[in-house]
Formats: sequence, structure tokens, C-alpha cells
Amino acid sequence: MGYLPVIAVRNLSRHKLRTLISIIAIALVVAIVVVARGHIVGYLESTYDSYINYDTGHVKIINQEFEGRERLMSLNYPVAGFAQDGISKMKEELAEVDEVKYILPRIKFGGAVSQEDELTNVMGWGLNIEQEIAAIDFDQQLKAGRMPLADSEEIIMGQQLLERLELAVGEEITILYNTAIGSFQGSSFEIVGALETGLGLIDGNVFILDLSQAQQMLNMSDEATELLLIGADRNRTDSLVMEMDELFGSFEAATEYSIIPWNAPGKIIDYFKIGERIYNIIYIFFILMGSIILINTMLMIVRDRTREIGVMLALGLKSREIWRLFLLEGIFMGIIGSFIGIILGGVVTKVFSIHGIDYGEAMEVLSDDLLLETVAYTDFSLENLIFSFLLGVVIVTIACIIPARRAAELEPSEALRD
Amino acid sequence: MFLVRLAVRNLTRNKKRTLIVAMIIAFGIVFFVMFNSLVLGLERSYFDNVIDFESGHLQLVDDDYWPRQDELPLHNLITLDEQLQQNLSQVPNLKSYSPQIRFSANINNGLDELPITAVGVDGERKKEVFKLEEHLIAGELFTADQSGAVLGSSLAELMGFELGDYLLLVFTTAEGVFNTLEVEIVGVVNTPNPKVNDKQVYIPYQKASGALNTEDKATEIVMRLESDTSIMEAKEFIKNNIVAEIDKYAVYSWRDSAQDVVAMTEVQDIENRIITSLFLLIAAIGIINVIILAALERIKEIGMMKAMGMKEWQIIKIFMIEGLGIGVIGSIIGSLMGGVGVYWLVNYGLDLIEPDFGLPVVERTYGVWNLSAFIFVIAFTLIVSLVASIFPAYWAVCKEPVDALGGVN
Amino acid sequence: MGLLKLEEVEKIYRQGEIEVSALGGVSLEVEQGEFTSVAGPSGSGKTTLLNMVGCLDQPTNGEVYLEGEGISKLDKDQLALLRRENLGFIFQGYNLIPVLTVYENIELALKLLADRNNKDIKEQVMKILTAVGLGEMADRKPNELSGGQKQRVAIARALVKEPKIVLADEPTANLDSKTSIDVLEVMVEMNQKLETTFIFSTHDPLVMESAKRIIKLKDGEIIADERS
Repeated sequence: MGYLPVIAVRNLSRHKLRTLISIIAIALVVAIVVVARGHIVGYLESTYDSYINYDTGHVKIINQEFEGRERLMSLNYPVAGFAQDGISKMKEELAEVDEVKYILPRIKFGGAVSQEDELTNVMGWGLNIEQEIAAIDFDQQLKAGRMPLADSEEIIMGQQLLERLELAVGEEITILYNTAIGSFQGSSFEIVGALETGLGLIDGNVFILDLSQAQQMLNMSDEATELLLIGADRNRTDSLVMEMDELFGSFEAATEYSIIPWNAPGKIIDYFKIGERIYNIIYIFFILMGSIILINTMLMIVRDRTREIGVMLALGLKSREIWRLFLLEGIFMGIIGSFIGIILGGVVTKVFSIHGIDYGEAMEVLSDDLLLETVAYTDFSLENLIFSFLLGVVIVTIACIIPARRAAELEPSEALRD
Repeated sequence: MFLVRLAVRNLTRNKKRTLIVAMIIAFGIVFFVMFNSLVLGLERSYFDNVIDFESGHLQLVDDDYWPRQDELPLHNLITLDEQLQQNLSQVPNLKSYSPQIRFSANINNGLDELPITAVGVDGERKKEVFKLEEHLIAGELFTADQSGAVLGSSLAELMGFELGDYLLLVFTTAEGVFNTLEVEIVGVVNTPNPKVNDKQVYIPYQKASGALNTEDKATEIVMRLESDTSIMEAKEFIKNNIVAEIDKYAVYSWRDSAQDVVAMTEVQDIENRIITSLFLLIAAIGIINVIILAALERIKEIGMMKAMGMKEWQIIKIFMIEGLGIGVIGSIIGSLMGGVGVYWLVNYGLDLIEPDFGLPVVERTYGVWNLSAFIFVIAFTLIVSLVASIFPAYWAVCKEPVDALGGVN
Repeated sequence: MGLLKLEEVEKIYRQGEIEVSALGGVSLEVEQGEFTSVAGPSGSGKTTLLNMVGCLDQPTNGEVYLEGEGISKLDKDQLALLRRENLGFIFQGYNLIPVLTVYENIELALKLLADRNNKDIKEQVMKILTAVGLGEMADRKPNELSGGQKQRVAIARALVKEPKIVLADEPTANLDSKTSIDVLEVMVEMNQKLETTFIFSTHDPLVMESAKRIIKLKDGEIIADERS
């Protein structure tokens, strides 16, 4: 049945202006979707990454009593192995699990820097540097210097924190802290690097040292405040959690720890996910509005060609074929419009994926407490372009059913009388 | 008038088409006025939070303290002497003022320690400046000569404190010496301001002053006026009478303290305008489309009108009035629907921020009526529909009937 | 039984509350190879009658039999299939599909029929185009042709599938008399060569002259049925 597409394509050029406006309308709404979605997805992706890398992992294991009180940065609720026999052994068990790719024990603790008469609160993160580099490319966030060596009295600090303390890479610093047994101590470190993640919370508050160094000085040998697990893909977190539940279930101490996936309900990421879904509805709404313009045009086309439809019916075309003919014409407009739309939108997202949109001050209210970047880079990806293209074509196709049905419902004798 | 009547009749010729495009416009308007109402509502609760719990209407501070205030330093303080008190009492419309001293401290429950902001305040005066008393959920505010601490509910919960417990504050004095202060908890507040709930502890001013060794000096003097309309006047007065005498002092309004919030709502406002413009851009294409379609259908009619001696600009006018008509219909539908939407936002509100996202608001967000948003968006809509109809109307008139038939049978 | 038989065919159109009777009990038989003209003033029911015969519409009462089969029990799609196999149409306004070339317009009629290969189709189309004297015009678009040429293409389109009946609604009404004679000659020739049954509706005395049978209609009823 090759003649229907041929007629449909040629029909497009019958009234170029009319066709053009419909195509522009579709192109515009699809371009809007590409840019809006690129923006939202780009921002959410970077936020998800920030949270996964610095807060939640794919799965976070913490002491159950610590859950909901992480803000305390207390050392009194550590992760210390399945039978309180240390995390080294726990890590061995965890490494056996198929879904687990990286195991990142971390110690997060509070400290202060005393300079003259001023006390600045800081946050210390004890990390296994080597593993962090392998799992989350942590060294990519270095702005200057190098990562601290294992078992050394070296630290790196957030760039903003360095500026606030009026310190520079290479200088010495004394940090005050409480150990796990509650004794108040101070240690001196050499600053070997500056960190710039784009996240105000980290850049302005955090210093990083080697995990074993932290364990030693905090009296937390073979313990951590949290254990992050990274799997192969964040979308497979469900199976990771399942395997964890199984593993922890086989030990007596299972009830002592909480296994928290990155997208756990009630956490901020969960709300972002809901937002993502709401946006998807908004995209559809926008494309529907563009489709309305196309429907208007198509209805007029059907009226214009009533007699022609009559002739085709007389020639023996079935109503179904008439329906298909008009649907095809609409789909072609949808395809052309969507294609132009993704090119336009693609160009805009490409530009903003390189330059980014700086929310600057507007985000400062939030960035003290949340891991949000102040510069938003749009997501320029084939996936986004294909998604938007398909969304455009599918919705236009559905919309064209209305005018196509109007054409197919014509009675041959009436259509010819017109 | 005849042209208008003709245009109106023409619009009713294809009611569905007219209505559909008008609906696009209506959606744009609904979106704009509701978003605007919500942003303003959010802004108002932010601002109320800032005024009621953080900065009062006006603050008198040392000019060197202001830019570094986030670090809570204990130098460049302000002294509330006799002279200043006398001057302040003359500020017009001043309801009350209170010195306060904010400092960084760690709160300790014997097990864990958490950095917080401690605020030394004059209990009696505090009541008049800030709305703490209304939000007490347990206990009471301390009076001037009393000892005791008041803290936020979520902080209390986190640290496991209850009324009557003793909390320990660890901090450094103005000279950089470590010091601690043990205070009985006399009150717990749950305010709409998460900052207060999460990380503030109030203690009596004298006690703080003594422990910090700041000699009765304050980090700032917060002032509350009788109404927020007299802020500029009061600010001017302080500038001319107090700051003029003591050069290193400066006066700031709550708006200056809420810079980041102002910036955030500005961004939201820009976002709203962009999205609404996109709606109207689609609507504009819709109008162009409708007029072109109408012109194509009526090409013979146009020829006849020309034959009857109607001038070209009159025909253009008919089409433009039709375009405007779609805008008017869209505006009416949009305003009605938007009105209902805003009414709903104003009366029932929206639970925007269930978890604590660090926004300076924790309660339900209610909308605000803003007539100027309606006027703005309707004016914008009408201009857009008029502009959008010029080009196709002109095109229609220049078209000869023969080329307009589109495809020859 | 003949090729086509109408038995007490009535057609009533409803226009809101008013019922209009377009045909009031028409009975008629047409044999294979007849060259028949339906005449009558406008509003006499010519077009309605042709619509019934052409299976474009179904009677309100009575029955139309095509080769002994009644059509009133058929649904829309079955009627469409019936038309594509058995019926050819020629219209007053030519009604070629403007976006298709002369060749493609004719080809379309064949492509709708099942089991034909492309080579056969091409041969058949070119044969009929030559027969109507438009062999050279195959690649033109309809708007590049004169009225007479267009109507010849329409005739070729109607005849290419060798239908049992060709229905022509005022085929010469838009043509000048010389072209009318031309077009008419083509039809007469085809009628003789292929033994195709032709049924016209017409006002044109020229057409009526060449018809072998003239049926006269008035107010939806047959008032005369003459064979020459």
C-alpha cells in the first residue's frame, strides 16, 4: 500500500504556509521540551551525583540509632562490623556480594579551627582516598595540590574554607575535635590540596584526611560513622538493597544497622523524583498545546478536501485508508516539526551545557544545607533529543486522530455533494 | 463599529477553533497568576520569618561587623549607652528595640556536641521585637534578671533535651579563651523559621555578655516598628541622627538581611515570566494560524468586500479585531480560572516543602492576591494577540483569490 | 438476471425535522454493455439515482442488485471493495487527485486491486492512456492539463480497471462543445471495444443523442424509458 505515504507527503506541499505554521508550532514546543528537560535533567543528574558521591552512595549503611541524627556528626553510633569485630571483616563479607562494586567507609566528624580569638567550625571527613578515587573520581575535584597520602598528617580543604581561614596550600593548621571517648584534642596537619566541588556545603566547611589517620586520632580503630556502597548502576539499587537485606539478615547484628538506599522515601532525592514526574506531565501539556494548532490546521484541510475524499471513496478506498492518509499527513508534520525542534533545542542545550546558568546568590539560601550546585549545566545528550523527538511525534500522532477521524467518517455521497 | 461587529460574528463562525486557541492563552494566564501568587506568598512568609525571628524591621550595627556577620565574630560590637538609648527613643514609629549578641557555640548534652548559634537577648524586650512568645510549645521566655535558655524544638529533639534539663554551651570569649556555660532549659519554641528551630539557643543578654566578656556590648540592636510601611522614614531618621554622630555605625533594613532570599524570589519571578512568555508565544502562533485559516476560508469573501469598495486597511482591521477578540476571550477565561486558582492558593495553600529543605519557611505556603499580576499578564496577552494578528491579516489582504485556493482541483 | 437491477428504490434525506424524498420507488434494469443516459431537470433525483447505482449510498427502502447481489446488507468497507472492483466514476469537475501525476492517478485505481504486479500495471496504464490519446502526458500534474484532457484522464482512471459499470455525472458539463464531442467519442469507443456499461446523468443533448437508452426522471420518479 505504498501510495498513501506518497499522497500524504505531496499533500504537505499543497499549502506551504499552512503546513509551515503547524510545523513551526510543533518545532517550538519540542524545542521548549528539549531545553526545559535538558535543564531539569542536567540539574537533577548533577544533584543526584552530588548526593550519591558525598552523602548517600547507592546504599548507605549506618548505625540505626544514628539515623535521623546525622547532623550531630556524633562518633557514638559507629559502624563497627557485624559482630562489633571491625569493618575490615565486614568489608570482606560485603565484597562477596555481586551487586557491590565499591565499599567506601567514611568518618564524618565535627571540629573547629582556632585562630587568634576566633573559632571556625569545620567538618572533617576521613576517607579511604584510594578507594574514593576509584569509585567517585574524587581527585577530579582537586583545584590545587594533591590528595593526602595514607597514614599521613596531611589534609585537603574546601577552597572557600581556605579563603575564609586565610590559609593556602602548603601551610600548617591545627584542628580541634572531640574523640569518640569524649576527650578534647588538637592535631596539626599540613594542607596539601584545595578542593572545589561547586557545592557550597563541602567547599565552605569540609577538610579531608586519610581514613586510618582519622580512625587513629578519633579512637575509632576499624570503625566508621557510615559505610557507602556503590553498585554498577544507580538504577539497580533495588537489587543491591535486596542483597544487603539478605546478607544482614544472616547475622545477628542485622537490626543494629540501617540500610538506606539513595532514593529512599522521605529523603530529598525522593522529592526530586516526584518533581521529575510532574515535569514530565508539563512537557506533555506543552506539546499538546502545539498539537492544538496542528489539529486546527488539519480540520481545515479535511474541510478543504472533502470532495477529494469523496473521489477517493468512490475509487474504492476504505474509510480506514482515508483515516490513515490524514494521520500520515499529520505524523509527517509531527516528524518534521519535532526534528527541527530538537535541532533548535539541541543548539540551545549545547550552549548552556558548556556555559551553564549561574543561579549565584539565589541558591545561597539553599546551598548551606543542601548539596546543590549554584551553576546549572543543561544536559546535552542524545537520550534527551530522542526522548523529546519521540514525545513530539507520539503526541502529535495521537492528536491527529481527531481530524483524521473526521475525514474517515465522511459518507461518500455527502462528500461528493460538497 | 460595523467592523467590530463583523469581526465578532466571524469569531463565532468557528467556535471550536476560537475557543481552543483562547484556551492556550487562558492556560498561560492561569499559570502566571498562580505562580506569581505562590512566589509572593512564599516571599511573604520568608520575609515574615526574617522580620519576626532574625532581623526585626531595622538593625543598627557596626559597619565593619555587617559584611562578616555570617562568621559571628565578637569584635566591632556596638554599645548601647545612655546617649544611644535616648536617640533611639526618638525614632518615629518605633515599637521596641533590643540589643542582642549572637555568637557561635557548641551545644553539648554530655554525649554529643553540635555547633549552633547562641543568641544573648533581653527577654523582656525580645518579646516585643521578635515573635518568640507566640511560638512557645513548652515553658516560658526568661525575664531580664533570670537565668535560663530557650531553644528550638527540633534542636531539642535532636539533642534529647526536655524542659528543665541543663544544656552546656562551649564557646570562645572575645579574647579567644574557651569558656562554657551551663543553663537550664526554660522554654522550647517551634517557629515557622527552621533556622530558629534547628540551630538557635537563646540565653539572657547579661549572662551571655558576662560569659563572653564583651562588656555589655551587642552585635546589633534590632528594632521593630509599629508598621512595616514606616521603615524608610525610620531608617532615614536613624541615618541622620545616629549614624551621623557615630560614623562607624550603620543601619540596615530587613530587606538587606534577606538579600539571598530576595535574589531567590527574583529568579523565581524571572522563571515565571519566561514560562508564561513561552505559553503566549505558542498562543501567538495559534492566533497567526487561526487568522491564516480564516483568511483562506474567506478568500472569496475578502474579494467581494474589496469589490464592494472596502479599503484594505479596513479588512486588515477586521482580522486584527478578530485576533484581539481571541486574546480577550482567552483573558476572560484565564482570569476567571486564575482567580479561582489564586483563591484556592490563598485560602487552602499548598504543602510545598514537606521535608526540611533548608528553605527559611516550614509552614504551608499560602498564595497572595496580586491584582497587578492580572493586569500585567492581560495587557501582555492583548498586545501579543494584536501583534500576532497583524502579519497574517496583512498577508490575507494581499492575497489574490486565485493563489489563495491552494492546490487546484 | 441482468447486470444491474433496482427494485422499488426509495431515498429519503432528513434535514433536521423535514424529510425530503429524493427518489420515490424507482425500478430499473440495466444490461451488460448498455450506454444509458439519465436525464431530467436539477432536483429530479439524477445524482441520487447514480449514487445508489454507484454504491456510494444505500437506499432507504427497496434494493439495488449488482449481478444479483443486494447491496443493502453490505457495510461501508464491503461497499468500498465492491466499488473498487466493479465501478468506475467520472465526475463533472474531473476530480483528479491534484498531487498525483496523470500516470499515478490512473495507477491508483489499479493499485487498489489486489494481485497485480507492477509490470502489468504499467502496461495497462500506458495502454489506456494511449487509448484516450494522452500517451505523452503521463508525467504531468492535473493542473497542467486542459479541461478536456483532465476529463480524458478521468475516463482513463474509470476504465483502466475494466469495471462492469462506469457512472458519469454530467461528464461534459464543464467542457465546450468540441471537447465534449471528443470526450464522448472516447466513451463510445470504449463502450464498443470493452463492452463496458455506461450510465450518465446529463442535461447535454449531445450526450443524449449518443445514448442508446434514455431514462427521464422527474421529482424522483421515472417518467420515460426509451431505447433507440
